[in-house]
Amino acid sequence: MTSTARMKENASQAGRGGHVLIVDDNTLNQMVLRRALLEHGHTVSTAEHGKAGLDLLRAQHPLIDVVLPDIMMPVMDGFQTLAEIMGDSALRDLAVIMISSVEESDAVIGCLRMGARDYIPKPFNVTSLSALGNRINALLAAKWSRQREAEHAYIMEELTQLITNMDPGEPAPARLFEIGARRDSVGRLARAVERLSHRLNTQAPQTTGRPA
Amino acid sequence: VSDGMSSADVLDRAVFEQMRAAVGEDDEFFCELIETYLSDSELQLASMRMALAERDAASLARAAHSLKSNSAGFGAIPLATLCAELEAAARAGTVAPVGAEITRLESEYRRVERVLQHTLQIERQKEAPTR
Repeated sequence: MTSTARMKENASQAGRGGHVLIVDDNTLNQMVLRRALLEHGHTVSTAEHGKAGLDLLRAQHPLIDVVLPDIMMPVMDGFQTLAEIMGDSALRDLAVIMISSVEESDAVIGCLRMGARDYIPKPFNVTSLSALGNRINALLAAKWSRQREAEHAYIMEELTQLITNMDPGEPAPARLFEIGARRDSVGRLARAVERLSHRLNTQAPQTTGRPA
Repeated sequence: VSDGMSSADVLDRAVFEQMRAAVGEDDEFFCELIETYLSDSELQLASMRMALAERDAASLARAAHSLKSNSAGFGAIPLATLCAELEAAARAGTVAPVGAEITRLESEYRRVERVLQHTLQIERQKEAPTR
């Protein structure tokens, strides 16, 4: 690896980009893909075949965002690897992009039907590598947006529970203030409830203190 | 043009340049790629000979597939074609009659090797004054 590439790898590990797993027994493909992905600011891991790739995925998921399996590999090929990922409820949501040579187009169609998001043809060139970079960025953006939505829904549910269980006259629960520190709409809602509860408590004759 | 023969017969320059462009402007990395190709190819040729001796068609097909894929990437089309033929024969379960094919494939590889070694030499001369 060159020093520039290494620097970029460290930069990506500091939080930018996603984590991509290349599963390919071919050293040259690994080298070219790895370099292109590091250039895009991603963290890159590699595995020699599907079996090793799955072991890594099962140990590291959900830290890995995108998997790039080559279709033809020893021990466990890309088709089988994809089948294993799709059959595993913990891994099913992973974005899989197949690496394939031209003569494997039938296999590629099979993989896309099975749930692979896309494929990159070999040999790689500037256009295909740049398209791969863009595709990965789009998949990451979609993943992160889904995660934000899920987290938002979860906190919203928690806030609803908190509000439902609040008693007038009782100080607002500490968790309400934690949620109120958020900068999104749930945070605004929590702060509104905080103010309301504070007003109710200061107006209520039996309360003396202000909420912390 | 190198070694008194046309390197165009051995390497498709357009594909070769595509590979070069794919790795950006980093000549050092490109040399690293060529070196890896050369050392990997030696390993694959050795596994082919071993697979032939052990009549192991699956290993033969795998080594031929790897060498085919790498060679095609560098534009070594005649070599990749020989590998594809060998891979197909091995997948069909044929091992014994491919001995002659491996010899042909190896001599084609030596031609590719000469052209790539020559390229490496030129690259290193280019790099030398700046380092």
